[in-house]
This record gives sequence, structure tokens and C-alpha cells, in this order.
Amino acid sequence: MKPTDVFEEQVKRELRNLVPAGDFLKELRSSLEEFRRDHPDCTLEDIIEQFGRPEDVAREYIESTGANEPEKIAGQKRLRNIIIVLLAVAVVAVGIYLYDRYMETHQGGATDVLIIYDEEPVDDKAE
Amino acid sequence: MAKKGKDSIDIDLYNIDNFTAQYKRSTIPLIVLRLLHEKEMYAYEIIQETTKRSGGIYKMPLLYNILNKFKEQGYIEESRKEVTDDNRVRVYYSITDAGKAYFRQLQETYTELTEAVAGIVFDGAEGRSK
Repeated sequence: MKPTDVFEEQVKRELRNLVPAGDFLKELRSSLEEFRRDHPDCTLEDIIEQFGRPEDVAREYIESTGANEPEKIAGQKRLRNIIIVLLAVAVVAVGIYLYDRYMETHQGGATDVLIIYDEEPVDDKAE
Repeated sequence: MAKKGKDSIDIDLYNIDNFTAQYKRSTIPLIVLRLLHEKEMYAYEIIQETTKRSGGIYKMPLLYNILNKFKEQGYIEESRKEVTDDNRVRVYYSITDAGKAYFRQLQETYTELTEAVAGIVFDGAEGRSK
């Protein structure tokens, strides 16, 4: 694996899909390719010396998108909480519905017929 | 990580790296606008030109963030695109009038602060030690 590929992979790993980074990664690849053309025998250390450590490159990009600003984080947390509550309500509603259906089905099958006579039946043999 | 300084005192290299990173963060906009003031360039060309003119001392990091920010602020614009032999697309940037005005302001501030700091750090220290 080429050192430029290793560097790119490390940056991708550091980004952890936290923010959309298609254009950024395209520009990164382009600059890395240009660097490799200038320095065909470059090592990973040479790349780090020029562009910085992969974790710093990724962190600076994430910071530039504003994804780690307090308001955005708070907004994301609020949205996450709303989704969790909605999911919980949906799960409870489905649970109640399924329980009702279960009870309906099983009670119908197990119902005994109880016949109540107003008068005692006449015993023919006793006569 | 630490190394021995001139006076055999341990120097924390992390602090030095941090200082370098912060210095670059402050001066990259100035350099980018200066170079684009001369002619349109693509991102890696700016990196190459900076390394060349600084005698290899100033290693410029990726310029994606700063170029995007300047584009949003209207200081630079995409002037053209070029497809290389290996099918990569080079986006050329040029400076706008707003970018030129911003550059002049940055240049003035930088000169003022640099002279003031140099006056304290170098002349001042020498003057006191004499």
C-alpha cells in the first residue's frame, strides 16, 4: 500500500463518518497525488511533515464544518432525544396492539359454554 | 517528547509544534491571498510555491478549509478547471476585489504586529542584556 493511501485511510478513519466529507476527501486525494508526483519516494513521515498528522487534518476539517459547535451538538442531542422518545412510544403502542390481538385470539379459543337450567332436569327412571 | 536546548534544559517539543501550528494558522490566509494576488493558482500549486519561496521551511498543510472559507466570504473565486494527464481535476482560484482589500488590511496588521513583537523579543532583550 502506498504511503499516500495509508495517510488517506487514516484521515478517513479519524473522520468516522461524523460529517459529509466527499469534496474534502477528493481534494485530499488530489493534493496527495500531486505530492507523490513531486516526491516519488516519499514516506508516510514525509507526508505527515508536509500536511500534518492525519488526526489533525481530520479534526481541522470537522472543526471547519462547525459540526462540533455547542449549538449544533445541542441540536443534534435534542433531535436524538426526540427520535428516542418517538421510537419508545411506537414500541409501546405496537406492544399494546399485539397484546390485545393475542388476548383476543386466545380468549376466543378457550371460552367454555356454561348452560344454566332454571329447573332441575326430570329423572325418568325415578318415576 | 523533549529535547535538550542550548542551556541543557528539557524543551517540550509539543509546545513548539503547537506554536508552529498556531503561527501557520494565522499566517496561511495572508500567504494564500498574497500568492493569488500574483496569479490564479490551484491548491497544491500554492503549497508548492510556499515551500519554494520559504526555502522549504514553511510547509503548508491542506488548503481545502481555508479556500472554502475564502470562497464563501467572497475573497476568492473559482476561475477555471483543468483536467490533468492522469484525469484529475485542478480547480484554479483567483482573488476578488474584496479579497484584495482584505489582504491589504491583513498585511498592515501583520506588519504592525510583527514589528512590535520583534521589537520586544529581539531588540528589547538585547538592549536589556547590554
